Amino acid sequence: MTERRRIAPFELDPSRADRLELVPPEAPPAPVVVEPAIVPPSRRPWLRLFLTAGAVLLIGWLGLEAYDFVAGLFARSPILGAGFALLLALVALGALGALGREIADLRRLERAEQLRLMGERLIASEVHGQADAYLAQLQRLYRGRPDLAEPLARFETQASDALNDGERLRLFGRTVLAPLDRQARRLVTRGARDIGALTALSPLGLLDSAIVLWRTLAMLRAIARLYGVRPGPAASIRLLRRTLAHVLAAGVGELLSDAALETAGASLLSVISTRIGQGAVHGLLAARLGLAAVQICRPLPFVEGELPSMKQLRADLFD
Amino acid sequence: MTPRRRSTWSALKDLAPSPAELQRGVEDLAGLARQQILRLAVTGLRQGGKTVLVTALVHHLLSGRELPFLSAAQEGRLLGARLLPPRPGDLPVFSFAEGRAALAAPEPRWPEPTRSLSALRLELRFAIKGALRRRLGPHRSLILMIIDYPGEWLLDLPLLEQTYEAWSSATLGLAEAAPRAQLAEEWRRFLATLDLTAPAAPDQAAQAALLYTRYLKRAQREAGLGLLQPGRFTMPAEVTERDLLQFCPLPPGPAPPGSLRDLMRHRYDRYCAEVVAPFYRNHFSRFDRQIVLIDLLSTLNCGPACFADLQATLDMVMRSFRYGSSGLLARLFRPRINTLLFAASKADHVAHNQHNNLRLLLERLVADAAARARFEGITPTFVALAAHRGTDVVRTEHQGQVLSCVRGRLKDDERETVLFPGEIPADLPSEEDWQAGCFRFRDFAPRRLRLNGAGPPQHIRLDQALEALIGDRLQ
Repeated sequence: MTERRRIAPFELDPSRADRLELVPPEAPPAPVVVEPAIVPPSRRPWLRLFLTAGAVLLIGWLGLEAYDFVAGLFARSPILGAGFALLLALVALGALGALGREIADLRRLERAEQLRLMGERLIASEVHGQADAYLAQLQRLYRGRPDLAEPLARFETQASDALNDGERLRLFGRTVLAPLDRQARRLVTRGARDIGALTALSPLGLLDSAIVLWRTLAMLRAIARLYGVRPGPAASIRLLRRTLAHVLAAGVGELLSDAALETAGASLLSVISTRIGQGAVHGLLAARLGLAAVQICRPLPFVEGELPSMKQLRADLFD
Repeated sequence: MTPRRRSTWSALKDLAPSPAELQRGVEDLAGLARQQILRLAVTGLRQGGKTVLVTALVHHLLSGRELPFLSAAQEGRLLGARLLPPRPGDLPVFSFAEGRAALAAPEPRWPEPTRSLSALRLELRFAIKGALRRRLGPHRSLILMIIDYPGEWLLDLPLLEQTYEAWSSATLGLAEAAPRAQLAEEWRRFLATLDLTAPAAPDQAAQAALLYTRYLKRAQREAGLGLLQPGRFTMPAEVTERDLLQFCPLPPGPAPPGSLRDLMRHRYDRYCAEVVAPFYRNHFSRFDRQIVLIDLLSTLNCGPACFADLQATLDMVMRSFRYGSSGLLARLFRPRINTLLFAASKADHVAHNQHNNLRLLLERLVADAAARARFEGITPTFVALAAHRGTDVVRTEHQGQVLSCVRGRLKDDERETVLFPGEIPADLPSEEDWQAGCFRFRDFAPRRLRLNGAGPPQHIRLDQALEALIGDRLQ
């Protein structure tokens, strides 16, 4: 079965062997990021040219205008010119800073995604010593959090060297991530309830969509923050997009059966009032989105029995 | 109505509960209904280490720590546990305190193995999972009854399905094969001198049984074999009547009334009816969960004959759990074991990277029998565990390879050592594996049990086994 020669049992002088010295684990191969291809890459080169050129034109024009403006001021009075130049520099700095921040946020979301993919690969692993780098990354992610200090310390003592990689990861999930999961579930329930109640109360159809978008984004961001991803506006939009894609990818069948149940419940409500029925549907949809966001942001995949189901959430919602 | 009657009536009226008392009574009843009993049976084959397992299990449940994979404990829902005092008429009490004292002594040693049936009751109190259900009551208790019985007894259940003749020919066939033939020689030679159809002389039966028992004990001790029936012959039991144990298999032939063969058959039937059946009726059929501990390492040490014998033994053991297929057993008693866990014990005697193979090898050994059991709705789980760790793992370089070795105190000569015990094959060992002398697993002495529970867990996967066995009842 094994090609290499078996090594016969032998005994050593205890003084010669050192305490478990782990050979530095080889870095796991970078996982291939499989981006759910929901939005196809832009196949409109002219539009792209128009937008890029337009942006460059706008920025150049603004720069030129600003330069002329400041130069004119300098001609009038050096003090006035210097003041406005400083203001302009601050504006530019702010814009650059915000942009950099946004990019960093996007990259953090990307990294969370990669962590999750690696976690998916490792959680069923039965070997030893490959998950150490990954776990170190997770521990770094949650180190500064006061609410997680105790679970992290507990994980440190409980992670005995006898556990294999998969067991270690599952232990991390049930020790450190479990309290986060409970909070996330509360967030989802609360968000869904908010959305349901607000849309049921809002007098205008148009207002509904605005409320749904606003509250959904707020919920998704709260969930992401909870798991250690702090998304800015751009990253939030991407998160929303990915969440939607995730819900769509969940499978039409499941969606249909759930939708049948959910709308059956909702239609019961709508006998009482159409608005309440609509609110219930919105709430359930938001709960589903929240659940998907949890799955996206959580660095480890849920193992059997940990994932809160729509059924439980539904019970929570209408409780 | 006589005065006497009236007084009774008024006394009864006084006894009639007030609404508040009624309510309390109903609550008590509800509490009784909430309190559940779960019978967990522990048994082992080949000194599987069940005493250590029960001791460690009870210790960790009492302390509530070091059990990260037991969901109730990790989620903080396990409020506590306490040992319940034995009630009159209970089974003999498992000597937990002695076992723990042995492990926690400054010079720790393994607890004395138990040789008979013993039990222990533990009350676990836990908070219920789920907000809705918690409204029914804040917490519940589960009475966990841990019953420890010799694995040899498991081999007796199949006797109930066999006639004396069928059992005789099967056992004699075994005794003629390679490792046993030599051990059984004395007994077989004695059988050859007997006239089985002549009226039995009383000392003939006793002598034959004595020689047969001696053969079984030698097979167990010297050859490390396990498939030795009847199990009570090698494992002294609560059999008071010596006559019951005085029989042995005989070659087939006519059995006129009063002959030795007739006598032996009669005793065999009595043994089945009076020793085997009561155990299964009174105990086995009431077990809810079962864990079977197997010391695979010593079997590997012992060689191919032991290994094949273990496989046959496990096959025989699995029959006890496959009651659905057997009309007789299903009629006699309705066992209800629904969770069956096979554990390869002493996992700490090999390096961690061998645990997976240890489990796979065990799975492979039971595979055929397990497939049949699955048909009956029982899916056995497998785990490689160490109830109490006696070693730690060190890395060392040997001939240019980095190898994981175990370091600990040897059980026999009490010295610290570092050992590379060989690798465990993930599949049934091949011919070369046996010949190359690849298996030299040694027994280690325990490390001292820390009673305060601080630090890394002192067991390997005991909590995972516990979760598989009782986790669903702690929700």
